[in-house]
Amino acid sequence: MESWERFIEGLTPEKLRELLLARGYIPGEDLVTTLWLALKMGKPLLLEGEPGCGKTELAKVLAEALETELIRLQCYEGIEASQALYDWDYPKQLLAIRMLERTSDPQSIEREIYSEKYLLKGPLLRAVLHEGPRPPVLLIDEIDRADEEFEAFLLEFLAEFQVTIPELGTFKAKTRPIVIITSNRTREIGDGLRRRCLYHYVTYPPKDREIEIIVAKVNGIEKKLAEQVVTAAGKLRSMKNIMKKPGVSETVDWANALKLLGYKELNEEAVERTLACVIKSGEDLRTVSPDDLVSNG
Amino acid sequence: MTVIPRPDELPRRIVEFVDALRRNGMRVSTSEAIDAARAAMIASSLDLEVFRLSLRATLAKRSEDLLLFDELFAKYWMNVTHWELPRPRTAVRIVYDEPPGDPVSHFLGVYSPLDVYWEGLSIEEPHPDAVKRYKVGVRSLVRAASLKEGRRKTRLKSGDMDFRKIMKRSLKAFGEPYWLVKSGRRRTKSRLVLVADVSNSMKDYWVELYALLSSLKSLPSGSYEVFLFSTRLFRATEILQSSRSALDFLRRTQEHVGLWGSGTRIGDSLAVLAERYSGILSSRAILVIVSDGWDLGDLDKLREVLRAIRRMVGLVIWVVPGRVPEADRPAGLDVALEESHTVMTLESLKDPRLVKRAVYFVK
Repeated sequence: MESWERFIEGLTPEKLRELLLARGYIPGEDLVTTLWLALKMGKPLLLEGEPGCGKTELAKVLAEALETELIRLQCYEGIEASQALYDWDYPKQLLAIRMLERTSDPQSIEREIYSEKYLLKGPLLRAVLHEGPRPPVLLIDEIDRADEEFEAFLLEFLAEFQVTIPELGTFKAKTRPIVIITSNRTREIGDGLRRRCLYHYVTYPPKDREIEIIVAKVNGIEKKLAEQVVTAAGKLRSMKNIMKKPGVSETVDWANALKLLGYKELNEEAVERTLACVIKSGEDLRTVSPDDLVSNG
Repeated sequence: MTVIPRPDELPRRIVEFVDALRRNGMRVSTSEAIDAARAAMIASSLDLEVFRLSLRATLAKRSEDLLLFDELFAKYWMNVTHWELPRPRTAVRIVYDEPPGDPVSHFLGVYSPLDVYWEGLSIEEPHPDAVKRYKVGVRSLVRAASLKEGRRKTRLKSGDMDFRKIMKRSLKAFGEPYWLVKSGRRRTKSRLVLVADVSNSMKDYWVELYALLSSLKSLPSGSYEVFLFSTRLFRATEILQSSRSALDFLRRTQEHVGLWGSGTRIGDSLAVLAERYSGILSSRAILVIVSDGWDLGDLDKLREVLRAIRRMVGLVIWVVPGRVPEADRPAGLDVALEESHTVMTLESLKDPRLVKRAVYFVK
C-alpha cells in the first residue's frame, strides 16, 4: 500500500471524488473540495446541516475508500470524557483483587490492576493508539447533543491528539487521525471548535443529484419513479407546516419501499401505503394528503 | 474579470478580504485567516471555484454567513481594480433625526410598513435590582420547565442501587462494598430561546427588556439563545454575551443590522426562526417571545407559525410588556393568547412563584 504521505501528496479533488463515487457516495463539488482540503491540511472537518443528508455516511465511505479503520464516537447528552477516552474495567479489577489478595502484596496488586489489561479503551484512545499504514477516520457524531463541557474537552484533544492516563503515562498519535465532526444544529457549536475545523454546511442535494443517489442506492429502480419520488420529497420539504422534513436517507427508504411493493410510478395509492417511510411524525402524517404529492403533469 | 492572485500577492489579498468580511459582521479570527492563506496556497493552482470553496471552508463557519460570504467573494475577487468595501447589510429605510412631534407622523413612523429609524439611539442602564429579580425568575423558569429525564445519572438518597459506582468505590476498600450508592436519572437541562421584539412600539420598554436580556448572562453559555426582531430576525446571543452596557449592546446590534426600526412582522420573523434555526427549537427548548403584539404582517401566517413552533418546542411563553385592556388589545396578541402555552407580563417574569405556577398549569 502506498505510504500515507505520498497518497496525500498525489491526491486531487477529482481523485477523491472518484474514490467516493466508486463506493456509491455521490458528493457535491463543494463537499469534495472541502474534504480534500481537510485531508491536505490535516484539519478536522465540521459537517453541519439537515439530518439524513449523508454527513455520517461520508465518514463511513471515506474510511472504506482510504482502506482504514472507522472509529466512531457517538455523542449524547451527558457523555463524559471517561466514556470517550478510557475507563477501568471495575468488575475485572475486583476479581483480580480477590484472586491476588492471598498471594501478592498490595503494591503488586495495584500494579496489576492498573495495567493495560484492565483498560477499556474509548474511541478517542483507540484513535490515538491506532497502528496501521494509514490514520483512522475518527467520526465524532452529533456533537451538538453533547454538553458544552464535553465540547471544551474535545478542543484540548483535537489540539494535541494525545491522552494521558495517570497510571500508565501519555500516549500520542503517530499520525493525526482524520477527524470528521457532525452536527444537526440542535444547539450552536462554540466558536472554539469552529475555529479549529474546516466547515461545510450539508443541505438537501439538488434534484438531479438526488435522483442519481436514489438510482445508485436502490437497485433496479426505474428512473421515472426515482424522479417522482424526488419531486414529491421536494414538495414535502417546501411545505411550511411539515416539522420533520425528509432527508435524503428517507427518500432512499421511500424509493426502496415503493420498489419492493412493485410500484412503477408514484400514484395516490402508492403514496398512501408508503408515506410513513418518508414522514416520521403522526401530526405531519395528518397534515399531508397523498394528492399533494402526486404530480398532475 | 476574476484572476487568482500570484502566490506572493496572496497573503495581502487574503488579509484585505478578511477585513471586508469582518466589516460586514462576520467573525473571522487570525488563526482562521492563516488557515485561509494556507488553503488558498494549496488551491491557487486549481480553478477559481476550488479557490472560492477553499476560502469558504476556512472563513465562513456558520450557515447563516455563507450567502454573505459568496456575495462578498464575488464583489472582492471579481472587481479588484474598483474595490470598494461593501457597506453593512442594507435595508430600505427612512431615518428621522428624532421622533416626529405631531401624532400623525409619529403613528406613521411607528406603524409604517417601511423601516423607519430614529437617529441618535440612547438607552438608560437598567437598575441592578431589576436585573437581579429577572435572574431569579428566569432561573426558576428553566428549572420548572425541565421536563425530560436524560441519560446522565445523579446520586440520590432514594434512588436505584448504582452497582457500577458501588464497585468503583469498593476498590478503595480492596473490593469490599462498604459504601452503597443510589442514583437516578437526572432531568435534562432546558434551553431558553428568547425572541424579543425591538420595534418602536416597544421603545418604552427597552430598558426593561435589556434588564431581562442581561439576566440571561447568569445562565451557563450555550443554555440560552437570544434573537431580536422588528422587520426581520437577528441572532444576538454573542453580542449580548460580550456587551459591556445597554448602550454598547444597542450600538453593536445597530452596527450589524438596522434593527430598532418599525414595521413589525412577527409572523415573518418567527417563520425565519422556525426555518433557519429549527435545530434550536427542540423539545427541550422554552421559547419566550417578548412582544406587545402590534404586527403589520400577516396574522394568519403568525397563527400558522406559532402553531408549528408549539409542536416543536417544549413550551411557548408569550411575554407582554405590560397589562393591556381588552378593548385595546392588538390583533397579534389575540393570536398569542390562542396559540402560545401561556401569556405573562414582564413584571410577572420577575416573580419565581408566578413563573412556577404558570409552568405548572401548562404541564
